[in-house]
Amino acid sequence: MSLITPNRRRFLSALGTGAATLPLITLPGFVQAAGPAKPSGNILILIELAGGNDGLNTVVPITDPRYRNLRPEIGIARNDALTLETDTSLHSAMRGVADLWEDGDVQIVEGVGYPNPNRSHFRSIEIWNAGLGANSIVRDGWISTAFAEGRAPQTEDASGIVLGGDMGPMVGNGRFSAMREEEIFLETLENLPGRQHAVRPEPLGSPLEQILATYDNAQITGEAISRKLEASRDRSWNFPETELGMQLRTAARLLDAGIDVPVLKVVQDGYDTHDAQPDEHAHLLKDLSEAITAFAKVMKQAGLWDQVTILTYSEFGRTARENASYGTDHGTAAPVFALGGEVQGGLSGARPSLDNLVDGDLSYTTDYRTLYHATLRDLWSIDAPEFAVSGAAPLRILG
Amino acid sequence: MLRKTHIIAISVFGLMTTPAVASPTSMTADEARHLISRTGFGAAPHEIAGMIGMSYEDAVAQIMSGLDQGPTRPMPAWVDDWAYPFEQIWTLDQRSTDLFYTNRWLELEQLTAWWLAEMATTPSPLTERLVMFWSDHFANSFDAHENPQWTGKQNRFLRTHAAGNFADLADGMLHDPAMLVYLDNTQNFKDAPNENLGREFLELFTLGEGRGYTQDDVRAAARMLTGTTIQDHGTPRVILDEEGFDAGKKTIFGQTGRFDANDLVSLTLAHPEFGPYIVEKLWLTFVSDQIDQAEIDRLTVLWKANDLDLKPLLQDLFLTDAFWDKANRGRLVKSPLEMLIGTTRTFGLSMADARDLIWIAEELGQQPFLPPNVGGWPHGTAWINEATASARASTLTYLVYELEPSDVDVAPPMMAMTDEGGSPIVAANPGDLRIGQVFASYVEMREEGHGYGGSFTLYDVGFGGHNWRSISVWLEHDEEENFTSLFIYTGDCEPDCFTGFPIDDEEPGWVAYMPYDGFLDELPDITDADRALMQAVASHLPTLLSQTDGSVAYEYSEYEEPGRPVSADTYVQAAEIFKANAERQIGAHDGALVMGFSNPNALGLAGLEQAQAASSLDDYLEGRYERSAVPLIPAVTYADGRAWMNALPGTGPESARAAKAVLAVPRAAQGMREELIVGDPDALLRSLILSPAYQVK
Repeated sequence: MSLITPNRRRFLSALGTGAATLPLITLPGFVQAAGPAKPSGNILILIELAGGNDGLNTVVPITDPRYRNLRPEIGIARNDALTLETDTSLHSAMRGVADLWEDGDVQIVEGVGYPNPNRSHFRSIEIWNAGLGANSIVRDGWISTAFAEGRAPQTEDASGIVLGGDMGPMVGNGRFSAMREEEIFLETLENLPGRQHAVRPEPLGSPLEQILATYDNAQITGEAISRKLEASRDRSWNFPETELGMQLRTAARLLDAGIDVPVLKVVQDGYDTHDAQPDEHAHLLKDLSEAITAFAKVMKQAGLWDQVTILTYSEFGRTARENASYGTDHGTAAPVFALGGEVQGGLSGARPSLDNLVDGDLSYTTDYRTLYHATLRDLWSIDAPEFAVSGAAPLRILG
Repeated sequence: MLRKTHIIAISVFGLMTTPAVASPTSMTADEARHLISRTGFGAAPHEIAGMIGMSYEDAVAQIMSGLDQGPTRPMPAWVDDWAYPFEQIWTLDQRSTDLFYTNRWLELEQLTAWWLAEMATTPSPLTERLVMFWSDHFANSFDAHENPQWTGKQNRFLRTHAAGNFADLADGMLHDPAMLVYLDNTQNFKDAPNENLGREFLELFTLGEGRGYTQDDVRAAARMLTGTTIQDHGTPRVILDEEGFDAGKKTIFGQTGRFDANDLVSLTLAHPEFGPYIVEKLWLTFVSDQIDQAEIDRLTVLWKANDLDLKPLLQDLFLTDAFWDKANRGRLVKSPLEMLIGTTRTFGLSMADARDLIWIAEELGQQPFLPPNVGGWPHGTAWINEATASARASTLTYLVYELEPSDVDVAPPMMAMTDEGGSPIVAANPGDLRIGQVFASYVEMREEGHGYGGSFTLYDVGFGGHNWRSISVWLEHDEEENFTSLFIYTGDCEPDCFTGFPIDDEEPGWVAYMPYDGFLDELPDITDADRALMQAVASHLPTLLSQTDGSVAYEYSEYEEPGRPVSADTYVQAAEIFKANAERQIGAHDGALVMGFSNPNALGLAGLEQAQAASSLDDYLEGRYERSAVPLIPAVTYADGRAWMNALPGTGPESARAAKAVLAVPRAAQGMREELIVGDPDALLRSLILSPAYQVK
């Protein structure tokens, strides 16, 4: 229930008004940027499509008769899809993304998955977050692992900020922060007790030690970003008024203010379309496409689009065959979208054959670790052997 | 400064002394705080004082004695009212429809406030912790169905079985209408099964992910659940739709048979790997974030030896060495509700409106009845990141220092919300026919060579001293044969009407009413009361149906949402012909037709008159919110920080006693600040509440 009650309004307005008034502590080694700040290097925007996106109805094998057989009721009609290539169409709700495709700013990596697929939402997203395959029980996220051992991009403010959902790929040690709306974050920090550490403590050990570190780290993040936010203007951009739209607005606001952070994560929920899928899926993809388009526009205005790579991912695709309730159940491989000014446009990977279903599901063609490996290499020249898959076809994200 | 509250009672426990040595036969203040807050929400000084010196066994027995007592305040009455007319409300005008659904969300708000108030004031907080545990375990979101009666009944079911037998819980949740909708089992039929409920039943409700089942078992489970669905015309009932049920052989966990949903429960709970997943979850909730595998195994054996009864398991859990081990203090992160309700109970905070707790809980990501997904809410340290840490600190500050206290000393036992007026009530004579509302949901207009008529519902029917929820009818006029018939659907009639034709739960019936000569002879079971009701309905049918003129309905050959306004002329003509034929056979009803309701909330449209008069629905709702405050007053409140300190048990430095009463582990040294806040109770309490250590228990 999201009724804005009078007390809630008072609470929120007490938080949202005025500039952030955090005490600014000059930390050793803190160099104040001259002129307008700008993020220093490549920026990865992770969009988690929570619930399991139906890849087959997103990037549609439009001419494949087997697709028609598997999807007699909920298949995307030929004249109701956006043509990308002869045999490949995009769901009609994704017009903005199709336009970016025409600009050469979109790569679709087909058939991304992993061996021994797990169909549990919760286990499979853990596998995606950790990036080490279905048998690994490592809890750390793939970004945390990639940025460990001194490999993190040298950025001023944080190594990553989560703007929606759980810490996911950024579980673990490192300069990883989380916030929702940026002004509310800064205001609420004032209620935290004074911090005990001058530099970011690692959130290690017992729950209490993790909380202690988090309390301090939140304030350290706040100090890092508040100066830049104050020095830049909060513009009124036109984002969809959805959860995803609001998260990407915050992402745009942080980057436009010059917050130097290489990874931002947002989430869009609702992809678990077991029944009555067509309308719901169209609604979700429209929101996704519009939010991405709005974000791309702001990034272009800010001169940052060439530094940005957006990556969408989901815990799994869905069953190739529709069920009797106009929906699909938990499946396996699915396409991943990479979008950005320097992204090498086009299709990559290989389309899973609809003749070669295993247990009724698609077989992955691109191991997701290859995707992570290529992303880390192309964006930040990080060589992370943890994610190398021997014998895998090479993948290139940036052109 | 701690906000001013009203004194209801002042602790008299201040003089009790604390034994110097902890032993199982005599609990210390610290142990009392530990037991109370781990099995409940926080611990108030008077609760701690009351338990000092008891043995572990007696104290655990005392805590468990509150189970099975039922809630201290009644659940809102509408939970047990007639099922709201979800299946017809859309035929009314837009504002009525909007208000109908808004009212359901406001009822959810009322139900949530009721539950939060129960958590804050119950003498058995363990009951509420267990209800929370199960509502997280069997996660189910109101969003999926918007039916607060289902949500209320589900909460009642979970509290009835909270410390009962797990087999009852598992079976009940597989046959719970809200669950069947939430996990799509109402769409699970044999031609292409929907796996959602089958999978989550194994993965999340019983065995646990990766514990002894395969994708083939998931498919078999889905097939066993085919056809378990809801008959939702009238009062929704969970039924087995025989046609949708896959009666074939299935193989699950290596066993083959013509299994159904009931077999799914028994086969799963008999699976050798069933047990540890549930026991571990209880361990992580009540004991420690560190799993002790030997203890999990031991407890699982004990639980199974008790046929999955939860009480012996819980009792043993609370008496394990690990539960009392000091190394496990502070190892559990408070969920937002534990933090909010715990703070309310610990400091005896009264509040002018318990509904404020709802949006605060939402800010923190834990709104009751609205879990984020079927996995429930986050657990343990997943609750804590930089975003939630700052949100927790600011909402705590707001709760303790800024929220308005109650201005009454005694909260009313029942929360009023529907004093908004509602549907007009009338009293009718037993011989009159009283009808609340007539809905037309599907009509067939006159067309060359076709029959015409439609589907109508008489809602809130009173006759012969009885009140019925609804009677649906199908009216049909065949122009070629010049014959009009009426089929009466008895399935939505609650309590039973047309008792000569009892409702079969699986196949709610129709009574055909064809007024040709001697038709009554073909209905040998008809009672005098049935006959009188038929007579009354037949005589007034044209008048009744004429009221639906202009409402929205589906029309034949244009069967598409959302329907469109219809003209009643044609089907009223059919009703006239029917009436004339019927009266020739069984005579005319000699009573009056009275329009009006038996209960102002029968339609679920409380406040309709004001809403129609207001310039917008939002305007009306804002005023209504202000009028519907729900005061919350804990059992014991404290006048101020000083009074709270005075109620602390034991001797020794006050600041140390306060810290021990509130925190499971010592907080970090405060240095100079410590000196400043000793002697200033409000500053001391603030520093305790906002310390990181307050986030763990």
